[in-house]
Amino acid sequence: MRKLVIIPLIVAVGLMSVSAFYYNGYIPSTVQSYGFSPVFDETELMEKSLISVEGRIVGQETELEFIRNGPIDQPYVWTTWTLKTVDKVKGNPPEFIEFKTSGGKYKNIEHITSGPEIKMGQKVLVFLSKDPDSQYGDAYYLTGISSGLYEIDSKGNAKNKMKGTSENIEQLKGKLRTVGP
Amino acid sequence: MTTTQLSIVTATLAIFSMMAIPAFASHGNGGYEWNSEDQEFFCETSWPWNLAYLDLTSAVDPACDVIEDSADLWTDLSDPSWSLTKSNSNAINQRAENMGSNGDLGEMVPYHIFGTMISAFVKYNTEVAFGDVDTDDDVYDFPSVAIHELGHLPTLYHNEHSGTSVMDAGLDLNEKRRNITSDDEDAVDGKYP
Repeated sequence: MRKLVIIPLIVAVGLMSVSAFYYNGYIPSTVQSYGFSPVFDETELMEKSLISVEGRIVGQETELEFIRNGPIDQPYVWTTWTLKTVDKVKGNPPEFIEFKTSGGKYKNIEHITSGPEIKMGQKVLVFLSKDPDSQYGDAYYLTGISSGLYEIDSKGNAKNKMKGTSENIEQLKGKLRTVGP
Repeated sequence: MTTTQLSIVTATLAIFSMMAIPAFASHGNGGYEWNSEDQEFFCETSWPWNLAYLDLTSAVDPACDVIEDSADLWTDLSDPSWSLTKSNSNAINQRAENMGSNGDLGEMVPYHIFGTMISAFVKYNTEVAFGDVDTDDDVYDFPSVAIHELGHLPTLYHNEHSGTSVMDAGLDLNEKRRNITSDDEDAVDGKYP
């Protein structure tokens, strides 16, 4: 009778362990991150950025990093977005330009951030910086993070969620170009 | 039913139950919770700070003192039972990192499995000109940043629209935002009464 209980239990636990590992190799879990962004106005964004581009998001790729935190290696997901240039506002961006943000989904690890929401196919105006010694390495990142991305809606309005601003994209670009190259 | 048959049935059920586990246990900016209202933090010993206003030759880490004062503000709220105290052990790590000269001022990163927070750390950006707006010009107010980051630990989220809350998502240069409002306190109290 005891065998009847113990053997299936051992087998079940063993198979659960195997299937848990097989289930993408990671325990299903969630990371959240809350970035506290500097508020940059348009003049500051232009002055601080290397590149400013209007474009469409055409690609995304996620990677997983483990960050040592006491006894735990805490997962942290990065997403590299590919933007197809529609119009340049500052600098000389190539036709396709990549930038990196925190967050994303890597297998069964979900990393939710408080930063700007970016989706495939979305039209955006972005301001990009680069600091090779920073956590972003050689990749571009959003200037001022939440400050540096404007979502362009179907009516041609460029909206910044954190600042709560909305302005016609052509008017905004015209204003930005008066700040400098 | 034989033992073997029972094993196969049980194992099959086990596999299906694993497949039914969702890829993440909570959705959106919500749902996480510590298993205890008493949490501890510690500061890394080597801080490559760009904190011009702090005396970095002091024997006591002055940046960590500011963080401890900020933790006390949240702990000393009148109603919630939330408590955050300084420790020297494996606790909630406060660290300094190069987050880019135009990157975020700070970031709090909790990690949870099946809805329970099991760890977190807080990063402060070494490339930002931090200071105390009461005495320094053209700085981001470090106490405001520390209060904000530690406000995330008892599960407060960003307040997008108030313009006055310590939990607003952004901070201007030379702006000071150090007062925890009754709304903030009520939110913590709701989670840790």
